[in-house]
Amino acid sequence: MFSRKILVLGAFFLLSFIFAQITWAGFGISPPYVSNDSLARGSVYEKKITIVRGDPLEDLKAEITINVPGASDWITIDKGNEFILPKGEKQVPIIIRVQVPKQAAYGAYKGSIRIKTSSLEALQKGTITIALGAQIDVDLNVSKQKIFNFIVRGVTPFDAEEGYKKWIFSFPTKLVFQLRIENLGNIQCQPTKIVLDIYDSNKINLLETVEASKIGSVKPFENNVILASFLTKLTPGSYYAQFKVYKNNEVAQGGEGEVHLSIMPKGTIQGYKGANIFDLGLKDKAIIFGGLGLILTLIIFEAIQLIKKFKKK
Amino acid sequence: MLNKINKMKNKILPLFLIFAIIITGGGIRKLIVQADNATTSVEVGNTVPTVTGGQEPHESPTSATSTPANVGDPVTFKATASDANGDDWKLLICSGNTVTGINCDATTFCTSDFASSTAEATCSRTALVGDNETVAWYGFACDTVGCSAESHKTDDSGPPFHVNHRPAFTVFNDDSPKNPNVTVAWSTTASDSDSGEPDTVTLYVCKTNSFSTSTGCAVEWCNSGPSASNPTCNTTTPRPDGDYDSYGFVKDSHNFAASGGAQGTNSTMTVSNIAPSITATSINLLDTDGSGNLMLLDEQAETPNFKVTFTVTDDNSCITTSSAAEITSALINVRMSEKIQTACDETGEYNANDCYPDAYATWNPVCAASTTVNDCTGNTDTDVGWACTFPLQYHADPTVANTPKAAYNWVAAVKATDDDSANTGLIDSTTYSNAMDKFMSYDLASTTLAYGSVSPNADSLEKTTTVEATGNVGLDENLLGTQLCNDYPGCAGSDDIAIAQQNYSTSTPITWGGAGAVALSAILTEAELNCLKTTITGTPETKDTSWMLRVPLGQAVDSYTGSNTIEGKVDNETYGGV
Repeated sequence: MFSRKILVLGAFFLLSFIFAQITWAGFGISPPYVSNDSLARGSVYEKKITIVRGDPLEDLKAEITINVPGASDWITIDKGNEFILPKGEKQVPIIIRVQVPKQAAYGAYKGSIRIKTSSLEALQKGTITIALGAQIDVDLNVSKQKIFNFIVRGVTPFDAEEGYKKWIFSFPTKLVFQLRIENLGNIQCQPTKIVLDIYDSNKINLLETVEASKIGSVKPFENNVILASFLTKLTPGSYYAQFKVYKNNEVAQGGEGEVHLSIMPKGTIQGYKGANIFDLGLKDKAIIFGGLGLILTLIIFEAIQLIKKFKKK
Repeated sequence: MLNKINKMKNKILPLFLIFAIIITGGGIRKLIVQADNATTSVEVGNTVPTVTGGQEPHESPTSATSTPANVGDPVTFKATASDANGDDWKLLICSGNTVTGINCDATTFCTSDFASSTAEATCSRTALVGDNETVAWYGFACDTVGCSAESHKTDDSGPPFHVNHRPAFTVFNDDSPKNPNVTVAWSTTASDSDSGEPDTVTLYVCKTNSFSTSTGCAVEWCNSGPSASNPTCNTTTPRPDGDYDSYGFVKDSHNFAASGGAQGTNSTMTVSNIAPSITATSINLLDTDGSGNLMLLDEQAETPNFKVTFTVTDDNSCITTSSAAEITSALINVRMSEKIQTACDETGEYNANDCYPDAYATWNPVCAASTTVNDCTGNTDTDVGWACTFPLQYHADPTVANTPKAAYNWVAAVKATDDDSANTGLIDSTTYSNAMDKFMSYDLASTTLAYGSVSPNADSLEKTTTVEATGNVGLDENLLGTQLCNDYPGCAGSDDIAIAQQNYSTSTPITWGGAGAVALSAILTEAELNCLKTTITGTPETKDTSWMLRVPLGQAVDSYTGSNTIEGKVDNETYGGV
């Protein structure tokens, strides 16, 4: 009796299935992957992914699903696994953080992170809504090796002032370079050495070859700027420097090129900090520290004498 | 006693004789007094002044070989004398050593005013162009009647007096135009005729027309130091191009300046304009956040604020003589390196996939000097940083690994121009070019597709969803769905329509359960959509997915609700996975 009723009704009624009006149009991610082939046990790697919407007319709920076999638990999102894509925001950056356990097995971990969106409004009855989503490919590799690897992404010299003399000390001309380093390795990295061949303004005569006296460092997987300083004898003028940034015994990728140097008379650059006492030559340092040592010795000697006198009394 | 008498006689006798002549001569009748009584009379004779010992005529101040009197300056003579008659006296300085009466037989150099006896008399004589370097003089002390014998001091203050003549300065030149920061020299034709003690000449080149023989230039370019003749001096040219005043002044070793001729004339020194340059390594092509690969961030639109930074080097420094910016403009052409520089520098070569030339009017990069890139600190600073921001379209070709253009990268060609329209030419970025990352983005064009009314045990009409590629990669899609139910989202009833009743296919036509048709699942399943990457702005590549629903036999009449998910993903076959 029941099935017959259905059949009859079915003959006279139609079922309605309508895809809902989609109120969000475009959706995307940039970039669509998380990749790192040099993770070390215990290391942390972060990647920024920007979620992009074409026409953000309403708030949407974003749900994150992580499916990286063996490594899903390592991966977290700074905004959590559910968050709102606000109305009016065309770009919502998220930070995907990979925390490799100290006991993680070495090897490759591949999978995906999925972002699925849905409306906060209740669906209209009798409609089929199409939810938009995107897939972030994940490709990780945990390596046993400590990997020292980096790319030089930019080298910029700052204007410098000439060195100067104060009392009997000669303070050298101090060059400071800013280097953008992308650390591809899993350990803190610092260029092995940086060498400048400094030529005259006609690029003919080699005037000096100097090696960086101080070089900054970059944390694993970070893309950051460091400073490198050089001590020279350059006088005010225009020079060209051929630079080489070394990774062990080889020049690093992006670590070779030419820059122009502008050395200006002392007092020209507002707020300029040139060479200090620690940048002096060995002879000058010996004088200063020898003198300080002598004074210190005398003080200690006097102190001992005083103590002896005190004890006698 | 006898001697005294004789001396008395010698004095009285002449007086007596004179007196006798007066009273007997008749010529001076007035003196004859007729009286009854006898009278006495005397006429006192004049005596010329007597020069005081040690105060003989002399120069004050003393002129000497080392301290001559400059032409035009006074030579002052002084002396002290007394007159036995108590008469006033005056100092007479002559070019010769004889006088007649109270006048020089030769040239009178100067005559003082009358001074009281025993007082000092002073007279001056201006040194003249025509004077020799040394001029002899003779001094006399005279009253109104006569002069003393010639006398003078015998030290340096005595004769002769010394005259210093102006140096001659007729020609003043410089050897510009010169490049910035090189040696420029000024030359002269100048000399000094004085040879008694060889006189030297010194050239001062001043930045302004202000010069003092004692302190030199108010603002100096250079000075020659003492020179026998034709002094020259040089300095390093300033960097800013243009004309610079340079006034020439010559003086001799006695601080006596030349006059007329080239003295104080302006030999304009010219610094040439040098074309600016850019080292390729200074060009950085940067993402919108300043680091990493280029990342597109706007769906089916331009992503603004990519950046090119570079340092322009100009030997003329970063500022002009008027402290304006030396580098006045810059432009960039941005391209994917598959194209050579000359294939992307004209408006007709614009292609949003791989070529953005400045000449294309619709693409508007904005370039300006940037203190954060490299600050301009003044006219000795030859570097100045520039930054250009620019947009890129959503379908600019990716060049990261596993993409079709992975062998290439994105390059910025940069050109800067100075205030004299000299330019660097187009310089390509090299080391610090950049890679374009993948941007997976899509749009659903078919937003109102519906199955419509479907009878039980019947199939719906074929419906389509159309995916548009709105990023810079080709697309596949992942699909999943939920069951359709009349109490969505609870779906607690027994009348749900199973997920698999919906079939889909990336090819058309679709037949429910037929070849190519895939039953929708709650498990995400990749559909090889293979939607191509968009290559024409505003005309996205599209790809359809066909859908068909079969309503099961016996399905209750109602409205059913459900949710399908379309998840965009990179077409891994063409654009690589990871």
